[in-house]
This record gives sequence, C-alpha cells and structure tokens, in this order.
Amino acid sequence: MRQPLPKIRKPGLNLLLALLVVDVLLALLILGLNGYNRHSAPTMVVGQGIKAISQGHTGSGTPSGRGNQLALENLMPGDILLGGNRGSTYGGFTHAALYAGEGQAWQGWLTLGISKVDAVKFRDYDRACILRVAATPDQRETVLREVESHQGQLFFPLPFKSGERIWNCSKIIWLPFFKLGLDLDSFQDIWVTPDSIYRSSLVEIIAEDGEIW
Amino acid sequence: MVMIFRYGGWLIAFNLLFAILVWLTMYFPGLDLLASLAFVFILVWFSRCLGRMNFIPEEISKENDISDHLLTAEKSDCQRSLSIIAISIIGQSPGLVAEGLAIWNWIHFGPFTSNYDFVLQMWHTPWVPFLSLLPSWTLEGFAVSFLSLYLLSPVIILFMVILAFACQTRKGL
Repeated sequence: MRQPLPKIRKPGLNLLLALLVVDVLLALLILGLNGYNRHSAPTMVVGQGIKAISQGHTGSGTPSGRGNQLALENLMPGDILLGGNRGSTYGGFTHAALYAGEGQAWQGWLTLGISKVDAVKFRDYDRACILRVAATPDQRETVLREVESHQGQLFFPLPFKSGERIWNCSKIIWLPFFKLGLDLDSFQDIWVTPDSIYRSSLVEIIAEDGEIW
Repeated sequence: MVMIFRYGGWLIAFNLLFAILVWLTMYFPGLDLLASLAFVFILVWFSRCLGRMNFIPEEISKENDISDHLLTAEKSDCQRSLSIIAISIIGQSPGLVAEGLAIWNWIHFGPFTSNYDFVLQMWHTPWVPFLSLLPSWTLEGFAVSFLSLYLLSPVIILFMVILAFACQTRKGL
C-alpha cells in the first residue's frame, strides 16, 4: 500500500503578500523619518531616475569614450572629480572620485569596491569637473585616510547614508567630510549623488569641460 | 508543469520582494543582515517543502495504487527530482540570464561594458549584506565580493536541490 503523503505547509501567496506589506510599510517609515511630503520630495534620486528612464535614458556611470579636455594640472589631494555621460539615468554626473595625489583618485566601483583609479580616466566622460571642498589641509588628510581605511569594501549603486559597510562613489566621499562637519549633500536626500555634491555651497569648481548642462 | 512554473514563479517573487526588503533595511545598519538571514531561512523552508511535495498529477495521486496508471515508483521519483531541479532553476532564471548576458558582453566587448553586472547585483541584493562582510580580497584585479555575484545563482540552485533531495520523503508502493 502507498503511504499517504505527510501534510506540509506550502510556501504560498499569503507569505508573498505579507512580504509586500512589510516592504511598503518599511518604505513609508523611511520616507516618514525623513519628513517626506510631495513638495520637499527627499527622494529626488528616484524621481530623477524615473524621469530619465521614461525618456529612454538608461546609461550608467561607465565612461562613454567620447571624452573631454578636463585640465588636471591643478588637482590637489582631497579634490573631488566628477564625470558624467549624456543620457545617464541618475543625473548629469554619474561618477565621483576623491583625488589622492600622484595621478590617482579613490572611487567606489562595482567591479573593484573602494579602489584607486587613474584621474585621467575622467577625461573619458562626456563631461567632467574638479571640485575643491572648503576644508583645511588637515581635514583633507583626515578624509583621505578615512577613505583609504575602507579600501576593498563593497559597492552598491544606491546605498542609504547610514552604515559603513556598503558604499557608492558619492557616499565614500560624502561621509568622511560629513564626519568633519562638512555636509556636501546639497539635496539633503536619503542618498548622496554626484549632482548633489556638484551643487553644494561648500565646493568651488576648479575646472570643468564637456557639455555641462 | 503548471506546478513547476507556479513554484518557480513564487521563488522569483520571493527573491524580488526580499531584494526590496534588504535594500530598505540597509537604512538601519545591522537590520539588513537579519533580513538576509530571513531570506536564507525562506530558501531552506522552500527547499524542504519541495523535497516533501507530491509532484504526481492530482488525479493520479488520489488513487491508492499508482501502478494502475503505469507509473512506477522509480518514475515518480525521477519526476519529482526533475521537478525540484526545474523549480530551482526557474527560481534563479533572472540571475542566470543577467549572468549570461554579462559574460557574453565581457567576452565580446571586454569587462564591464554593459549594465548587466548592475542587474546581476540588483537581483542578488538579498545577499549584499553578507557580501559586504567578505574580506577585501581581489582576484585578477576584481573584488571577490563582485566575482561572487557570478557564483551565487548556481550555488543557490545547487543548495536548494541538495537540501530538497535530503528532505525527500520516500514513498513505498
């Protein structure tokens, strides 16, 4: 005789719905904690992304290879390099790095995590610029040391500002300056983007080239 | 067949909803690790359920004597095993497709020339908190945490299949 199969609780729709409800509640909690209302819109990044995608722009932070003639001669350690391509999803600038000296800059990059890149790579973008933060030489040194201490850590495209395990190119620059009392996030969003740093009142544009919108 | 696609679809839905959950919990550092652990728990539970599930069509399984329908015990076991493998593969199909497209682009246009690496990381968001705990090792110039993304889908499939087989209930005739 065949034995009857034991009764088991199968994974089902109820669990999926419960998970969906938890997702929505958590999203609302985060928006609520950040004082969300449809006028102040702290989720500018998402809005920007949706707008860009609806216009058919799905580009990432990868250099296009069209290039620019950014003057790199005046770079100082602690300066910020920004690069961006036409049709990028999340803003005019899509990548940021912190100049470390000797032609190299710290960046957050998917394949490498927190790593060094040749500053000259920023000439591969459609547009690029150099920003100088209103910070003392000691503060710049402190920021560079802090970024170096995170070398090799994980890159994720849209990390929240909180936490020190998961980074993107902008957060790894923003957080060390923020710890010194210099908040470079001009959008005051729950994420940091290169555009937000570009528009900060704490930075001065040293050089830029390409199609700056 | 319908059952295979239904459970495979549920696995995809679980992965997507957990990707959102884990991403949102990153706002509260530490909670993301708990959310990832919950995802692992769900995968284990799902695999155990698969191992104990009856994949024989309902009209046949309602009968007491399977041999009447020319289905031997070996055939039904084989059918169950294939169903478990198929469900696990369908459940990771978005990851496998993104992986395939990323590798195709690497081969034809060089490393990191497409957005499929990003898609792959998005799909594996439930594992990102664990990956962030990996040491900062590199292999051929690439971060181990990044290269792990390419291993995750096959490893998850293998993990689910082995666990489901281990939990299989033997049916005697």
